[in-house]
Order: sequence, then C-alpha cells, then structure tokens
Amino acid sequence: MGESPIWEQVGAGFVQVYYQQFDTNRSELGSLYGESSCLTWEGQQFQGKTAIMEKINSLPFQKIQHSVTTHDHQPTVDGSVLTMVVGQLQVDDDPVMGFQQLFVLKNMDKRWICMNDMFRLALHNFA
Amino acid sequence: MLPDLLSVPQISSICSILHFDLNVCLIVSLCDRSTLLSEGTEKWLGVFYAGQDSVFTMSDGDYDYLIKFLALGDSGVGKTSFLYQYTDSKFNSKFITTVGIDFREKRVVYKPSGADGNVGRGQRIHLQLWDTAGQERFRSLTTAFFRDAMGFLLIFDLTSEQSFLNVRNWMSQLQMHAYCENPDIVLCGNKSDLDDQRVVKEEEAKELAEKYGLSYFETSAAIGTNVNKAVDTLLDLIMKRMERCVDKSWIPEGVVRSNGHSSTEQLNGDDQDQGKCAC
Repeated sequence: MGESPIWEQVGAGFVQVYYQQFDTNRSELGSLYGESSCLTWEGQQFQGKTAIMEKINSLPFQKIQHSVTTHDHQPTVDGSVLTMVVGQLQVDDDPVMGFQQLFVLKNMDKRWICMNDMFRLALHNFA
Repeated sequence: MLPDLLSVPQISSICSILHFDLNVCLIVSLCDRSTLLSEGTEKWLGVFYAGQDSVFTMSDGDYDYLIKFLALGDSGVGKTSFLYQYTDSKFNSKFITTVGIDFREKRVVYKPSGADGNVGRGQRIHLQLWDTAGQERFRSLTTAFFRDAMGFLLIFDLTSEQSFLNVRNWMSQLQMHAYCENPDIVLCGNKSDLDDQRVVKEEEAKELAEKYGLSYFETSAAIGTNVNKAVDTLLDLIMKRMERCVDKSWIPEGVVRSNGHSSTEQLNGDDQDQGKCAC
C-alpha cells in the first residue's frame, strides 16, 4: 500500500487534531488559526484568530463530542489543502446531530494554518 | 418523472392508497416551507419528495387558525416527552429523536368563553408544537427560532435545581427574541411523578411564576398530569390575545370574522400574518 498523497496526510492530520482539541479543550484551538483566518459558523462570520476564538469559547455548552464519519481532501491551485468533513456531534445531553465542516489549510512559515472554516449543522427540517 | 408539486388531493390519494389518515399527518418543514408526511409513510413519501424543492403547507384548509407553540427549557427536562404526551397521550422513556420531524401537531376546537355570545361555535385550531434538538445552541438566538412562535411552554425539571435556576435565563432570552416583549408563556415544572427525587418546591416555583406573571403547572409527561391543562391554558391566552387584537382592529377585516370561522384566509404557514398581532 503506497503512501497517501501529501494533501491527504495534511488534511487527515488536521481533522484529527482539530476535533480532538475541540472536544477536550476548545479554548486552545486558537493555535490552528491565523490573523486572516475566516470562520463562518451557522451563517455568522468571524475574521481573525481573536474573533474566531471568542465565538468558539462562547458556545453555550459544557461538553461536546464529535464523531467524524468521513473526511475528504484535495490540493488547491495555490498549494493549500481543501478539507470537507461530515460527522455527528453530541452536546451535553442533547440528541445527536449531524454536521458538515469545510476547511482550507495553508502552509505558512512551515506550519499549517486553517485559513477558512465553515460549519453547519446538518439539519434540514428544524426551525 | 416526478411532478413538481403534489397537490393536497394528490397527497390525500397517496395517503389513502397507503392507508394513512390525513388527520394524523405530521408536517416536516423544509426551510420555510412544509412537506406533508404521514407517520409511517415517510419512506414512501420520501420517494416522491426526495430532492424536490416544491412543497406545500399542510392544509386541507380545514381550520381557522394555525398556531405555533415552542417548547423551551434545558436539555433533559422532558420537552419532547411532554409534547409527545400531549399529541399522542403516550410516554416513551426511551424516546428517540427522529431527525427530520421537528414538530408535532394536533387539531383542537377552541370555544371562546362566552362574553360575546360565541359559545358553542368553536374555532378550529391547528396547533403546531415545536421541539428543539439543541440546535439553538449553535446559532445566534436572534434567528427565526423564537420569532416564529406565538406561545411558549417553558419547561423545567422538578428534580433538577439547575434547570429551575435557568428559567430566568430562558425568560430573558424570550423577552429579547420573541415576537414581542411579553409573549404568552406557561411555566411547567415537569417530572412531578418523581416525587422522591424532587428538589424544587412548589412554593418556590409558584413564586417565580408570579414574579413573571406566568401560569404555573406541575406536570408529568410520564403519566400525563396537567399536560393538557398547561397547553390548553396557553392556547386560551393566545386566543384571548387575538381577540384583543381583533377588538382593536389590529387584524385587518376579512382575516377573522367576528362571529364565525374565517372563510377566506387562514393564518397559514408563513408567518406574515403573525405580525398583525404583535404588541
């Protein structure tokens, strides 16, 4: 079995780190974002590490658990990695909900930064 | 090829072919629209609707008012069970949330209490009871979530101090985001059957309800205590509010006739009508 392409490795590695960090201590996710990173969370937009972390820290739940179902990765023309995640999550004792999340990862100063992050719950029939 | 839009008669015939009664239909709304699904026929109708944009609001049109209630409260207080008990008179302690069905429905007849000589001429109400799966925690609360509801069932758990303390937070959220500053709310202390685990005293709860001017009921979604009474009380508040609105001519003529059923226009799905009743 050959080694998977670099973008697969980068993307898969990021996915693992991101959700593990999110579920254990989401206040430390800041190290994955940069000053020009963008987050769109359920349609709300945030730019820059500070604003993004403020949003993530202010989410009104104690514990969250993500379970990643699939993740797909592609290289982009400018050498970034595009990552799409489909999964399920559970917040405190709420029912399990599906989610989708999209990332663009860019290599800056020899480390991978999440430049774009879009999150949506996969709910189609809710208010 | 699938038709773009199934008409109500077409749905009726599908339902009758499949031996389902339209009256027990559940509605699933897709964004702001609604798809009619009959319990158990989802997978059949799913074939017809898969990937389709065009949907319709439930309506054999056979009602005078469509009223939306929203159940609120901390997770685990029994919102889903409460609504299930109300609509189906059943309790399932292992209730599994069906993703895709977000609200339950019930038809009731409301009889005005009489001052205007209307007794006996009931108004046919189509009640939609909205539940949440916790998705509101991911969204800013200014979304359509609170805005669309006309009445609120604010539920806490008599066996959970925290859920009772959070009633204040829910109240301030409501005052901020509901369609008006003093929407109609009924407070329910649920799980009253678990008497040995109770930590919230009836007096405490009543005191809080009084402070906010709310009706208070101790309910049990498990055995049904006061569940109907709580919902009926809320409906009564809403209907009284609507009557006041009519008295003040806030609702344009033609929407509701003063001594009978509205014939031409229903308060149909898409909410533009609600504004007329705003405070």
